[in-house]
Amino acid sequence: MKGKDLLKLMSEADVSLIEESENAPQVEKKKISKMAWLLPLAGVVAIVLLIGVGVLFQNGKKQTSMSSEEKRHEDLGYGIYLDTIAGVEFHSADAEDKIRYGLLSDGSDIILSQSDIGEYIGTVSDDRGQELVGKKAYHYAKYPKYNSIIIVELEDSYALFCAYGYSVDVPLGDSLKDAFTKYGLPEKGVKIEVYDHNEKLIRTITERSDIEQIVEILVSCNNIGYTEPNRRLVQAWNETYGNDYVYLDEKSGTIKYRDIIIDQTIQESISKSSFGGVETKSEGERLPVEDMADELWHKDSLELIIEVSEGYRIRLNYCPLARKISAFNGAFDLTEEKMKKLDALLK
Amino acid sequence: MRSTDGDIVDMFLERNEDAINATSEKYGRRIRNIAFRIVGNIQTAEECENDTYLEAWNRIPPSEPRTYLMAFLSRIARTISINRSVSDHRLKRFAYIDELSSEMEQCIASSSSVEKEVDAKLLIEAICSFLKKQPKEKRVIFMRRYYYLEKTSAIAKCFGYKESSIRSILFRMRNELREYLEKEEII
Repeated sequence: MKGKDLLKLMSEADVSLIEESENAPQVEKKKISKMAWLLPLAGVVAIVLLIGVGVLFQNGKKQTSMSSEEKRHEDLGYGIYLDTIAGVEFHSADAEDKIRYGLLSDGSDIILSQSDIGEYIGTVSDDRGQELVGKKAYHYAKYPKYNSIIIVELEDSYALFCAYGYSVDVPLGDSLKDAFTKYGLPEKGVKIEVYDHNEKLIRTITERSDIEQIVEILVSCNNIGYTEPNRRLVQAWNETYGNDYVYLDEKSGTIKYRDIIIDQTIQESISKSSFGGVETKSEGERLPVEDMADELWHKDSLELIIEVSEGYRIRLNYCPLARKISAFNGAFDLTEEKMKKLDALLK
Repeated sequence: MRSTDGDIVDMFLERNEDAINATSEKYGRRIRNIAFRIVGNIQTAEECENDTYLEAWNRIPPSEPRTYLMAFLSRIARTISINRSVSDHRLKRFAYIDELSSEMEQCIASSSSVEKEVDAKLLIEAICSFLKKQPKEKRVIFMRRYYYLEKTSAIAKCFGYKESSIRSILFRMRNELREYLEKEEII
């Protein structure tokens, strides 16, 4: 058995192990043993802090540290909805959220204080566990205008939840206009981050006129499904390499690969012609068709993240060779003219 | 109000196509996240998500995962996404799967010179048994890395450790697992 087989075999792990680890709990750093001599001092500090907290929250308000209820909720990974914001699911803050909203300090979770509770935003109307229905939610004071991060008031503590944005399905043939309108674009657009195919941030666009122009181009594109863009990718392959090792399965609209390993002679010519002289494989190694196709198709693709003033984010993938933007549930058609304008704005 | 897991499984059993919508509404985001972490591409992750629903449709019945629907779906999504990553040979992701595979290989690299036929069922049972004997934190770190295929940097941030600490925890666990498997005569 090889490592790859074992990696696949891990799918058969016990359900209890999978469920336990699905949402990584926020485990405190455990460095007590090396600091044992500090324990008596820590006790004194704790008493002082408790007195301080009592003074600070003498108006009866609660402290926003992680409670067992919150931990349980986080472990279960429930999604919740608010009565005031339709179509947005909030989830327990994950690692990416914590980095984004500065909820980590020196690698550990920061402890929120009373001053972090902002304006009332709504009441939990739906919760898979049914435990939070009816609880009040507030803005995070550090980001008073963001709806993408909220604090829910529990019995004896508070819990943080985050959202990516609205659940949107764009029917085949429709444009991105309705979806973008839901997000308040272009008016509410704050910035657009542009990443290359290696996930490296190459540009952050904040100029209002640029954001408006990009959005204008995007909303004019219609969802054409994936078959046509796939056909374009196959065509690009044929034109570049002059063979049918990659082809379109007309019935399913998906791309298929012939089970061929390209020999070294062909690989060398490919390396020179399409990789711009950058070798991606060591000398003498053979290259499967899929690798070549992937490199050809995605080397110029870009990932766009549009952020709006409420903090929501829309992720889009721009693939020039397929002349498409992937977003939500669809593939949106681009003309040569639109791509020219888009390239000028993004790069 | 969204359906309970039991309701959804009932819909699958009745061959009611609303089961797919209910599953997507309740678990779509999480399935997509699992797939995205593995394949690293939105479009492919969405395709894996759809394949997961199809596979669930084919498996229920006979399966009836009323009490563990999310785990059931995550297993399917994970397998589909890994297979997709491997078969697509997406350069970056393929390299990442390779990295994880070579780490896993350490766990089954027996010190004996005799190559032994490994029974997959016994092996996964033994791995689970080993994990259940570990402290919860180590167990979850292992699963986050080798089930959910998370990067060590992401695990480190979640657990408040330095990345190097996570790497050494995993290194020690892999060695301990290999010793355990040898002791149990699995490898």
